Amino acid sequence: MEPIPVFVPTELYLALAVVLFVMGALGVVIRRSAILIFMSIELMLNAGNLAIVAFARHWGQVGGQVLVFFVMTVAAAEVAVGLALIVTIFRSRRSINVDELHQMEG
Amino acid sequence: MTEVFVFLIVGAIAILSAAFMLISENAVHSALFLVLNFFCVAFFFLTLSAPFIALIQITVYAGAIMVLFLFVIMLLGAERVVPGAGPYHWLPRAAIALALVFLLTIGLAVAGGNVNFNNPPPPQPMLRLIHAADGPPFDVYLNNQLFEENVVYRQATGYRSVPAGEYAIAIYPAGADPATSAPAILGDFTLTNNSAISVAMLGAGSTYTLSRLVDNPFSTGADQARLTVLNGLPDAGPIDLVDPGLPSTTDDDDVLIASASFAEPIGTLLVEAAEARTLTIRPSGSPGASPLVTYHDLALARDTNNILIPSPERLSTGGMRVVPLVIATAALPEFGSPQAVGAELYTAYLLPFELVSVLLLTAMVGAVVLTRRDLIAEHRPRRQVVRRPLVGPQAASALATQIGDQESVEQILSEPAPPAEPTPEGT
Amino acid sequence: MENLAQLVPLVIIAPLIGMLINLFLGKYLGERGVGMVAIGAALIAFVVAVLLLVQQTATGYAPVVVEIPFFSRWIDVPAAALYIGWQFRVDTLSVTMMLVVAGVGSLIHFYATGYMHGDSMYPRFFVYLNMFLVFMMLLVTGNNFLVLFIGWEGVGFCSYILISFWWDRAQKDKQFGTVGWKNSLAGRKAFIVNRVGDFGLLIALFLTFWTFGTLDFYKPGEVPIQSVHEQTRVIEVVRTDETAPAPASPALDEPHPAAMGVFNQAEQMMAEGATVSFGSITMPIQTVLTLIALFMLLGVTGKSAQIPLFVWLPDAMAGPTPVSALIHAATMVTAGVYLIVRSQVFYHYAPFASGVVTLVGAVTALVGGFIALGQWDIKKVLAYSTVSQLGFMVAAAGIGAYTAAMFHLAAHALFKALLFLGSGVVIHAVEHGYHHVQHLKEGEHHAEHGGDAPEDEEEPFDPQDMRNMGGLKASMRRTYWFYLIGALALAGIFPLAGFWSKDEILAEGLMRGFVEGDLVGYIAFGLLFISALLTAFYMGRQVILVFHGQPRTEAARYAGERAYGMRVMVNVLAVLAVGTVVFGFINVASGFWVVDRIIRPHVFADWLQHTVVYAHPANALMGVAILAVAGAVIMILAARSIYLHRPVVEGDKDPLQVNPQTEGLFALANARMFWDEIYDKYIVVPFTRAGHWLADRLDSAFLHDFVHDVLLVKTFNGVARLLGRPVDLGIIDGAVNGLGRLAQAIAGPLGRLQTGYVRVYALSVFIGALLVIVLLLLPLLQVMGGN
Repeated sequence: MEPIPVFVPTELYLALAVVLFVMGALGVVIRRSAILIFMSIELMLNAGNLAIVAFARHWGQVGGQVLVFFVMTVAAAEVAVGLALIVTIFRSRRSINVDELHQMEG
Repeated sequence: MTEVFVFLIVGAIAILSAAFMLISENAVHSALFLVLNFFCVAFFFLTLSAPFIALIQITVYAGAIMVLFLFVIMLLGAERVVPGAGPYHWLPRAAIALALVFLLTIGLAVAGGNVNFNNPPPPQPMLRLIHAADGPPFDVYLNNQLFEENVVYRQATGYRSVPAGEYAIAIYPAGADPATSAPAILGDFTLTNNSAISVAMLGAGSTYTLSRLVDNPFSTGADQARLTVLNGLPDAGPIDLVDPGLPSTTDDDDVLIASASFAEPIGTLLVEAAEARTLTIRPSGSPGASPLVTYHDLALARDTNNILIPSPERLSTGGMRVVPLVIATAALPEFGSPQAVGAELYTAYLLPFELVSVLLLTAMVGAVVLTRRDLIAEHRPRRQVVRRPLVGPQAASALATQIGDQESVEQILSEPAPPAEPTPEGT
Repeated sequence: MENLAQLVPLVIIAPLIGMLINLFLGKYLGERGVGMVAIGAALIAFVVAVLLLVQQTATGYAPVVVEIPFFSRWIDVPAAALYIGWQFRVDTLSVTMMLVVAGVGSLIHFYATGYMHGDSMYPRFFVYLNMFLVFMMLLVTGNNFLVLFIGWEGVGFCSYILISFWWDRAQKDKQFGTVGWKNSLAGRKAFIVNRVGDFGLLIALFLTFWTFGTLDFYKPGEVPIQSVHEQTRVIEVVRTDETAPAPASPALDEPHPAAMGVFNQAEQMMAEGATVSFGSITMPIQTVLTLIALFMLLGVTGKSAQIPLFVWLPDAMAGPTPVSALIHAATMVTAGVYLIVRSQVFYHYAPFASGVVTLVGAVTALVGGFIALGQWDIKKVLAYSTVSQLGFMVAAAGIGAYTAAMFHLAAHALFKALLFLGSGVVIHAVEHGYHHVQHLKEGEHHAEHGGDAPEDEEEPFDPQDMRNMGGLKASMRRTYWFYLIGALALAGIFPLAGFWSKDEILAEGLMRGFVEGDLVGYIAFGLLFISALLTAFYMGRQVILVFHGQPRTEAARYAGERAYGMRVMVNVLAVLAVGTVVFGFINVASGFWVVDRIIRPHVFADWLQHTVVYAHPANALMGVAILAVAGAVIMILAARSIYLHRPVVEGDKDPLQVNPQTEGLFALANARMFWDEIYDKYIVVPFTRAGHWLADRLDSAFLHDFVHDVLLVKTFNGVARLLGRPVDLGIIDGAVNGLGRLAQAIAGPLGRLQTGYVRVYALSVFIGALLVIVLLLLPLLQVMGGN
């Protein structure tokens, strides 16, 4: 059976994924534009995908790649609905600043 | 080390682009930095033997989704981020502190050397059976465990993974009880990891021979087919595989594979894929001899492994003849290739696949419904404050019965009636 | 041809579907649609019955058992070896009954579309009629006693709801004046009286099951033992599920289901002289069979209106006339006769029970005929006539003339349906005439009084009273002739159906006495002969009172057969009249003058004999035939001489009533021989008293006032008060309120955490995730610290 070539250790990919993930999370908390928050979420999803693919290679399981495929599909769906929401919010409030949306306070 | 350097460079680009995305004042710049980041991730996917996912990453993510983002940003004219500080000034600082704590924790755990990155186990050996002996169907036992049942003549079973180790193989007539009946043939062999083994059963009549072939079950990646010969003729001596179409200036120019002895595995030949190719088998070292058997119009399809087994077959008249037996197997798809992902997607993950499709459809409908104009109420800056009477109608009527005058009670107890057209406060 | 037998479930399914359609969609279909659905269902059943007739004839009369796979183990009690499946039995007897039920039933459905025209509960009526067909078919097609019993109870229920169909219609009552509940009382009476009979039938079934371990008539593929001796027949078993698994070998401790049906077992046990033990009592099989037969007879007296349980049938005439014709003359009441004929093996081996059956039937025939003499209600006369004719059938079954009984059953179904439907036409016509008269009167009234409301509070007009009729012959010519055919058939005039069937019974009775020297035969013959004479007399009286002479009321003067819906009714009469004329010739007695040379004799008997193994074709006794016809003619002439010129004397009295010699007899007949009064005095009143005592003393005074009010309520109140004040208010409410206050106190500050700002939420998620990761990594960090 043909071995999968391993040149860069899996750990490095995981470290990169962690860093990207944390940056995405930071973006979600720091940025106030709804679109940028959204893009940060995409960044986090990508970091996750990277980790999954790295593990798939590590264990020689194609299932991981299939999972990434599903994640991408769900992300696409999420983007479609999310952007529709943003457009709707913008239409009604003339702004996509999430700090202006706090009617749900307790 | 070149690979690690490349990784570090591209990783740095990925991190930097993510950072610029975070700090850009212009949303369009942020989106473009994110695209760059996605390209870097796609590059990593390629290096992680996931070419299919990498291409999807570029087309779907970096292409379609990000274009959607840009489109919405442009549509809304929201590229300039609203200046001025919002509430919660401490949020960014707290978030950055938390992120550092997070990285520090993981870093400490890793630097302590306590995180155990197991080395992946090597792939298990794969085994299959080829029944190339003119005879009844057989059951195959591996270390006294039933491995394959009812293998019929001219059949090759599919590859199955087994743990590496020493194996005793025993072949019984189909349906026979191994405890009571004698095996047709016994054999011992070793299976090591990372290998694919075909065990072929040769011979005719009552004597059988086992032959062990090492296969490469994976695709060649080119427009080629693998070709090998297994001599299944116990009495014919070594044989050659000959392409009669080749020009034969010397005696052996047309020989493709030479000197295959009975049951001896011999090297594999990579040949151009062809729809129909005629090959012959003739006794080794006798160029002029008539062929023992001819493979007419043999289809050598791309990514197939073809084992030619000329084997004897008894005729009903009592004589023998040589039949051109071919075991052609489609190569296994390579790890991460579209075929491999597709095979997995359409077999083991079919239901999730369907569910995700439905989810996409739902999202599409949802997006359409959400952005319908008539569903969105007109812009109202503030909630309207409706002045209510101080007491409810029940209490008012109760008081009225005590006082005896409902109108005056209502006038006393309630504020002036709310205006019919409530005026927004902000104007 | 064999597969035709598979159609037999359709005779139940078709009416069932018709019933369901009318039940759920009847409101929307309209009268026409409802009628078409119901008639269609009945006609499908009839067509299937005809196909089964063809099937039986073509396959050599082999009985076929059709199993419904889903119900093949419908009742399954392994502990008692009680395995009962829903099996259909197709043999000559059941096909005969199916033909009678579906044939007469279809015609009456047609008739009812006219008769019920304009009724507010039109769809409901047809739902009930189709439901009746379902249960009647269940009764006659079942292959075991339990299925028969379900049909038996089902038709009883249908009879009940159809008798009380006009439950809200006003009736005259001697005691209470005009009341609206007499019809439902009649229904209730029928239902309760029938329960007494069903009790007997149930006991008979229990005994049967105890004795034979099964309730199946014959197992699939089984042949009556009696007939095996006579001829070899091809018997086929038709299973609808071909791949039914072979029955597993039963466990040893499990009782085995019987291998033979009840009748063959009875034959075998009689041949062996077996005994049956009931606990400590052991009886010879003949005694057991006698007991079964007697208890079964009790059921028969209930369903087929025999003495002593016949009192419900005359009251059942409160139902609509099609119901009277279908259920209370042609089909349901003959179920008892069918039961006896079906169980002929039991009766064959129980001569004592057969004797009782004969006497009950004969006495009932006489009593019914006698009471019919003194009735004024046109339908009551026919009702008592039905009682009397059922007596003929039962008596015939009792003397072993099963063919004659079935023949009379089928013939009676035809001509009694004809008579009832004819009476329905008459009643309808008189009612129309009455409304017409009322309409005219109102017009005059308005003219005289200038629109004042009419204040006449006269008692309701009774369109069924023969005193209100007379002279209808002139305005209802067709109805008159059809009615006359029916009446002559009932009186037994040659060559109508009634002649052949009644004559056969009389001849059989005499032969029984003559040939076997059986006293019962002579008694039966005597009583039945007198009843036959009475029959001719009261039918003569009725025809003359209704159709001849001058109209006695304005309503009768304006009666006519041309109103809407009457046309279809009269057409149905025509069909039945043709049937009445023709039907008798299918069972001509052998040796009858020249007729048996022209027509093959006893075709019907031959057909039936393939199932009813103890049946035998009848020989004609020319003397009896001539005597009976002559007697009938004399009685008709006597009725004519009495009634034609002075049908009703002053004071609404019968001519017989003013004649001192016959006054007493007429009063006795008019008062229905005081049966109801006797039952009232000796059964109903004591029962009611006991009921009152139980209600007043035991239930009200003791159970309610003492046990309930004193013991239960007071104790309960005490406990409740204790639980209420200190326990509930103090502890439980305190706890609940305390919890509420606690929650309020906590929720206030916590609520402030919910800022509504998305980013704060995101941060808290981030913190949470961080905490989780730190927790997960904690063991690793600790080990590191240890290093």
